[in-house]
Amino acid sequence: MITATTAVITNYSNQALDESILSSKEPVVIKGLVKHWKLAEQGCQSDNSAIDYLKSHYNGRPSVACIGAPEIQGRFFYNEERTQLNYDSRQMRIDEVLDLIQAGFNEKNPASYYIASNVIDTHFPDFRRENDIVIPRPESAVPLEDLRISIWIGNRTTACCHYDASDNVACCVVGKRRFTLFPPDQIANLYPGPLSPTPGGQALSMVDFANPDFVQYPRFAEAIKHGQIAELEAGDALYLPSMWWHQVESLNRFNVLVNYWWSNSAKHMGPAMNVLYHALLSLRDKPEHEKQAWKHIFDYYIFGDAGQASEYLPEQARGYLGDIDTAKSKMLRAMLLNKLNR
Amino acid sequence: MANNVLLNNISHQNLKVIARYGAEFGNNVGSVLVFPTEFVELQKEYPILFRRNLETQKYHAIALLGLSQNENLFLNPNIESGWEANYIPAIVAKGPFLIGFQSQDSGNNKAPVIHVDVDHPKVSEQDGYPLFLEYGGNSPYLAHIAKILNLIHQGMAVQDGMFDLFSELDLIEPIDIDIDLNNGEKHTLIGNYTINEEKLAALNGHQLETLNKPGFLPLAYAVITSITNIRKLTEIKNSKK
Repeated sequence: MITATTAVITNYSNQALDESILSSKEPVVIKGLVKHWKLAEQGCQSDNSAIDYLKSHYNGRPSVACIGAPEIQGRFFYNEERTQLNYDSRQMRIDEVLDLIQAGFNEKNPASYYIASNVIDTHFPDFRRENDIVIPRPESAVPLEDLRISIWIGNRTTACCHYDASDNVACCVVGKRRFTLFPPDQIANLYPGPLSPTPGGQALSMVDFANPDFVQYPRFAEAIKHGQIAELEAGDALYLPSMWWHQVESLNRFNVLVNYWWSNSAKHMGPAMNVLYHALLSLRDKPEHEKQAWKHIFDYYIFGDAGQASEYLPEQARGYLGDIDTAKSKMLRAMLLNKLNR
Repeated sequence: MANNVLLNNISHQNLKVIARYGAEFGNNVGSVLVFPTEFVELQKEYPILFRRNLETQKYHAIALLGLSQNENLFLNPNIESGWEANYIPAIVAKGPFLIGFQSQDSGNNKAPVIHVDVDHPKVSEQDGYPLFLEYGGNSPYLAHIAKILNLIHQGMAVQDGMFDLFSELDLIEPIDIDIDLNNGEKHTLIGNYTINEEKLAALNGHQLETLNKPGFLPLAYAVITSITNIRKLTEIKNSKK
């Protein structure tokens, strides 16, 4: 299996994150980045202290809990037909879920409980006063995507390999976590599954990393060569660049992760996934020679240097080929809505 | 029986809806529920009155369409729309559609979605306006319906606040409406409420500001102005005799 490990920065003393770490676009573990957090301190004393601390900051708003039978062994995935998920999602209070996790401490084979990506400020309004880091963001003329700060609470669970379209600083505050990482170019070797339904909006790798089926998924052997493992202990953080594939295993009986998601892209752009869906509709099944020509066209207008398609045109003639400001983005959106509505 | 389902462009690709109004579609009613978000349009056509639910003690608004329960004086089978007015109350104009709410991914947000009663007499695959374009896009008629549903949705959200404030400022009073027809018939409509114009005029500056800030002051005047439409109802009734 994978032997490469993610680079580690030790003795990190800054309270704020260094921009050089985030601009590397390579995953890196920052040891002890959040070990001074109040919740990390409570977790060091005991799981029960950490649970009490979380409860004391909880405002009672219901959340959505993922609940898996003991048989799935914490691996939130699909049923055999791959048409449905293998767990239940239920609206519950977070303190109820904490009680259920706590009650499972003494069981040999407890059910799996997972509250995934719950925005902190809506449910734990004062939490960040004692538990927070600062993500440096660049100055920008147009509004950029907001920072999204979420909490993940659960017992022993596995979030199957997927990618997220945002940069991520994942802070293992309580418990232990193992991230298995692959660069974006490994997509074909990871055999991504259905676009929907999915547990969190992202397609999952169909490969069971704990027991890979190399007959059905032979290219996974190649992915292994490019993979790396990041082991996080309580207080450690991982910088995970956007679009990297990652499986996340929570390894203790109680684990809490806080993550910071951001993208330094203009808010008016919206998810690039919409482009993919549109391309599935309007591009994938065009005649082969047309499709290949479109590949050149996309390379020229989209994937190449942003200026190359307009630098030889006078400013006033550039239109959508030039810089796209908020006003132009609105015109484009209106045009697309209009053209799509047929 | 209504058979309400979530509207979608696959199951309902060929569905059409008749936009005409008439007694055969259940439109021959003496009054309909209306919403604050349409008072300004309504006042040009119909008397807007308030009624009170005896159990909940809550007010709601209605537009008066006729002098008895099963009389809609605006219905006219000889014109294309079947309803002789420049503005049709939203609850009628929405036809067989309803607002529903659907949980989004995270389960915490509920987004409004459109439901349709597929057993409604206005719904078929033969007659009326199509809901979807050839490749599944929304038709102009569906966009129009979405606007109407949104107007109802917004209206429902503000109406309790509006009535609370009207009550707080003691502006609501009962009104008995007496109508004498040319043929000697007399009608008395009871159980309705309106805005007391004198009390509204007597509000002090602070009270007026309280009423105006959420946009309720023009609505109070719309209700008062709309009462003159009772004369219009009487005239239509006289001309039909």
